[in-house]
Amino acid sequence: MCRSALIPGWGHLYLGHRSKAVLFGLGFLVSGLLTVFSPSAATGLAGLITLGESPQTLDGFSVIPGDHSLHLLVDGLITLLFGLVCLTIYLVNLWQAFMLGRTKYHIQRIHGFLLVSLLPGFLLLVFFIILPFLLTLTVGFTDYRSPDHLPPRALVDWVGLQNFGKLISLDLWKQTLLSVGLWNIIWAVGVTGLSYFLGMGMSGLLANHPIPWPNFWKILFLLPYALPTFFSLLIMRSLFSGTGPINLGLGALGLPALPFLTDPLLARITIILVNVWLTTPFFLLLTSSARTTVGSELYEAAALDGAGSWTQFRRVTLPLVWETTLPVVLLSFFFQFNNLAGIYLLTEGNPSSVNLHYAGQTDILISWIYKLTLFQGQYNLAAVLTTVLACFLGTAGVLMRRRMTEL
Amino acid sequence: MSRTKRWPLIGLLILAGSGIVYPLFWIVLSAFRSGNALYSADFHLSELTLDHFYRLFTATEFPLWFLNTLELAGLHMVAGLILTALTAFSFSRLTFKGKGLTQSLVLILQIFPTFLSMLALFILLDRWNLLNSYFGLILVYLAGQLPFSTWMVKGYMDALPRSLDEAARIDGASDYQVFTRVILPLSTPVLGVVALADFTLPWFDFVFQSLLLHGDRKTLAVGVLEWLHSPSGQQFPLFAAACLLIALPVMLMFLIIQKFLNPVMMVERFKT
Repeated sequence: MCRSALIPGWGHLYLGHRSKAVLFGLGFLVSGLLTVFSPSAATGLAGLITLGESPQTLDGFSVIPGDHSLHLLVDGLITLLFGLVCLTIYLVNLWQAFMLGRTKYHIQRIHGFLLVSLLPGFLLLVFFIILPFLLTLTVGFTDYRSPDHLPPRALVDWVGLQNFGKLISLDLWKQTLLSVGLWNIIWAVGVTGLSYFLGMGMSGLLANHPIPWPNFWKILFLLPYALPTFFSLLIMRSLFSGTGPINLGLGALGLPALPFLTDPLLARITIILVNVWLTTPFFLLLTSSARTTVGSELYEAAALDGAGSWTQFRRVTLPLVWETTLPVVLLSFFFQFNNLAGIYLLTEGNPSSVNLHYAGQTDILISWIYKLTLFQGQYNLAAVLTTVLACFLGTAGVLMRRRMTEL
Repeated sequence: MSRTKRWPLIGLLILAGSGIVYPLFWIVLSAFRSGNALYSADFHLSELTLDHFYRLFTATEFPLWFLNTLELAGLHMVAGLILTALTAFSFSRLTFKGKGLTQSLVLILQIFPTFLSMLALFILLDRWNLLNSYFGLILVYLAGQLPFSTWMVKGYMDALPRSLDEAARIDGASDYQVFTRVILPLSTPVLGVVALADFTLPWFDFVFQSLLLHGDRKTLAVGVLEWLHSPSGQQFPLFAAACLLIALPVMLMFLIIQKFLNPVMMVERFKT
């Protein structure tokens, strides 16, 4: 163990685990070197604390470079991450050496192929999911926003919990958060629920009744699923627009034009229905294959007990299909909950409202965050909202995982 | 069932069918009719024309955007297939410490869309000088797709009988050989689904493309959104024509893959 504490891997080598020793030694060396020699290890951690002292300044026409707060923040985080990896390797190495020395502790043989096959995925996970996540979290504690705090011309500073406080104490923000959040839930439940039961009904029609050309209908009903959603949504947007073909048709019938996408309530209904149009085919496909897993003997037994077709559906089909499909329904619910395209491409979150801060009546949380980031430059508050949303999703995800292991 | 009871049912089917077909019919019509009139009620056969398609290729940057998107989609598909197959194989067939925890993490990560941290990704790619490069964008896409596709492929591989790889191992096959000779050939159906998902993603996603790409790197999603936001609104028939041309390859791919699309397979992957 003492050997391992001095040079990671030495202990393993001493006890005859050569491949493991090389792994620990190299892993420690590489991550250690990366920590010490990362782009800004010297300023990295100091920079992470101060976020820069002097902004870029102009001297006549020449630019005198100053500290770029965001670069300091990113570099600092990366250095921290490398350091953590290095420390973890060291501690695991120490622990294993300790166990090895004490008992006849058996360690697993390391597969060379395992390393090669997991490393790319692991690196992607760390640098493109976890690091962005940490960065978002930290931005929420700074004053990074336009127009006053945009690097490199100005510095960004830590402001502690000020942004979170704003969200809770300022009425305008609080009200917007509550109203957008409520609509977000209605939207996700509405779209997922409606399309599930529509898909269920359609698969029942196709499965239980002799209709002419069943395959023709099936392909027809699956069409919206095959179309790129990006384009179907844009097509729908022009269909429902103020002077679009649907209003033209209504006019031809002598009916008044309807503000499908500009009246708050009507826009919400339209946007749900359009997304139901897009999602139903998926549930049609899902429920028709789930139906095939229900054994026919169950129906025969039910028929013997005198159950009509409605009772059979309610007591046999529905519970069994529901149980089989629940995991996918839950995933689909969360997809819908964060369906930025489904909202943004259709209405851009509009119609706008004076009661909502930078948000429209059909905005869900993620589209609100998108607009705050892209058009308003309210980066720090967008980051805070993202953190709130991520906490909600994380909790829901853990609950979902637990429910699924029970099944 | 009696004939009289069939008619309401068929009526219902036709109603639902027309609800689905109408928007598609309308976009086809706009693409082929002459003139720039956005919405006109009457229509004659003589109005049919290929003008918009011609203009699409000669007067706009559509061909460039199309090729860009194709390049992006192709590269992403290849990289995604390799990465997913490798990761899923290690989860399904190899043992390592912390496997259970990683699996839970992969499952939970599926409900976090990548664009949740779009701002952070922008800052990071800017720091690494990967803005406006397909390499950076593909890395972002790969990371985002990985949890979902790994989970799906892993579920499929779990269902393949273990006796197969045990037999191969008795014959002296290494991990690598079990992977390439046994598991990979048997997993082609599910990898087809992954290929479809990875190929189509760059045709739909506008969030990252509008955030990260510009100039001659522009893709279809970015270009088309810009058309629609152009004040004239004159571009609509062009948009319709573009829609048709883009929908075709994607739908073709879908038709090829669709016999492998079995949602129950996606259900099964949760039963671990």
